[in-house]
Amino acid sequence: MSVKVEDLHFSYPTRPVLTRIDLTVEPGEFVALVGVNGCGKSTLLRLIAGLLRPSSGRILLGGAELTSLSRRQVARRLAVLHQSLPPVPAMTVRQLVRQGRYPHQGPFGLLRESDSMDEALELAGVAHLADRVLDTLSGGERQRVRLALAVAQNTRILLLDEPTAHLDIRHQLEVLELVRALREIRGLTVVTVLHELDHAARFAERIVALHEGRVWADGPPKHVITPELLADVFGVAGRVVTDELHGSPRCLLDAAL
Amino acid sequence: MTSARPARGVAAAALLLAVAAVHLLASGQPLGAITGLLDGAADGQAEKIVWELSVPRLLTALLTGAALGVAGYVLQATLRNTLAAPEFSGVNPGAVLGILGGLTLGLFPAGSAAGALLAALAGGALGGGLTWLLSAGRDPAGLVVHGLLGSALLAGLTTMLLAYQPSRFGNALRWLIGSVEGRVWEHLALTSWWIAGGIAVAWACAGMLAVLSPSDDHAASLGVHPGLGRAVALTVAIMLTAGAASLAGAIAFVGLAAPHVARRLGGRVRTVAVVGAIALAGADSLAQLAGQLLDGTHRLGIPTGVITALAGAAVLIRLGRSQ
Repeated sequence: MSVKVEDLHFSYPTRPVLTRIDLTVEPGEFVALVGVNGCGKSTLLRLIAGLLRPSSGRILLGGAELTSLSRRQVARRLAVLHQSLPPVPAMTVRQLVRQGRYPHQGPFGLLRESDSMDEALELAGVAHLADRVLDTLSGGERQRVRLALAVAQNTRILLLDEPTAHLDIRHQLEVLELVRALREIRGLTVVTVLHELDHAARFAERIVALHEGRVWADGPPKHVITPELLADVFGVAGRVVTDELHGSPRCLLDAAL
Repeated sequence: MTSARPARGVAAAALLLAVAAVHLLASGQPLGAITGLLDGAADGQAEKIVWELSVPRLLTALLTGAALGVAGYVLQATLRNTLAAPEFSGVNPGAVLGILGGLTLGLFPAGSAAGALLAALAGGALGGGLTWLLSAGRDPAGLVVHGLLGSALLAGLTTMLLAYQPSRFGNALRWLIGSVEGRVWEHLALTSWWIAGGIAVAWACAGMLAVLSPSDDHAASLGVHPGLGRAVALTVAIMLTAGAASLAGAIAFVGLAAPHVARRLGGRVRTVAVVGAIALAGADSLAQLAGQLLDGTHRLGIPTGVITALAGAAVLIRLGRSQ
């Protein structure tokens, strides 16, 4: 399912955040949004998720205008992994992942399709954690559980807001590898906000760099990750080399400008 | 998981039956009069007493407990605070104020179930609304602090009302402390449907309540409008609290403690209804027994509200320490 953003503007009462954003994400694409804190990348993600209303412009999910869809219909098209999930006392992994079926259920939890829930636990590699209480999980396990929730939601679009924040490097890679695998198995369209440029270059097919509320660059990692990007967008002097093994660009950071 | 469901239903039914039996035996009526009712007819004076007094008292305890348990569960899930409860959110104190205010102003006769229910509903909505206003625009978790303030304010108003007409204090006591005694079939006829309806709505919304409990963003991403969902949930909580208050007044701690137990058991609305019903019927069994030990001290015996306040506090201290 495609995501299309047309001439999008968004401002808070005190300041403009996004101006004239145009972006088309094709079905099955893996796109990373990068930029400094406050550049509007999380805001763009929330706008696409329908959690914020744009000041002007349009957003289309698979050709249907977002404003014409009910919240429930949106929830059947896209799943969101938010930056944080506040703890709920005594909630188990299974209880959380079951919530992914909510947009597909009637009242009293009718039309319960527990098969797709078990499959989601399996795919995200958390079936063995199903009866654990969420509070007792490590950060990496919790992210995998939240991905299982997104899988259970059975959408064609997956939005992620900094899925690797606060994780050890091993779990950062594990989570991104899982996202890549899920995308292949389920044919998902993935749009993720990422802090780490090397991760973006390594896992995404396409990088959209936002700067001062506009799209500063948009294209394959090799074209976007350049010393100019580091200098003009991130304020860092650096060099970009090619990772021999993966063929992706890597940043060597030298100094703050 | 699927095989565990019928087993849990059987266990719940068995526990309910057991606590009902204990409650009836604790009423102090002769065993023959209780078992004599099993033939479906109340023959003789002793059986009539059981049928007209003990059975309604049992049903009042079960219904009130279930209503308060579910109301507490709904409040805790939607306000995201495990200390949210009908008595701390302004709803229950408001309902009690409504009933006492209505009685004092002579708006409805003391025996009227519909009058008490409407007054409790108006008062509960007022109390909930007051809490809502005090905490307007703030995080739902902060609502509990303002709920406590609102509850204190409403309790103060109730005290003023009683101080103004001290002669009514004796009659008001059962509402203030909470008691399931003295309810007859007439009181139950309307309120039982009301409470059953409220629990059914909460059950239908169980999935939505679970989705609302982590955060607004989470709920919205799963297709729930957070503000609308919260409004529906709070309305159900007020309905149920008003129903409970119109039967038994200010029963404390069942609405606070039952949801904790239900969540520990991995259950949702149906579990908390059963837990609340068993808790209050159990507490009232103790109240009946204690009342017989202190025979003749007071017309009311030991009000159930005293037992729930003591037992609930003990349960919560334990929960707090084990967490």
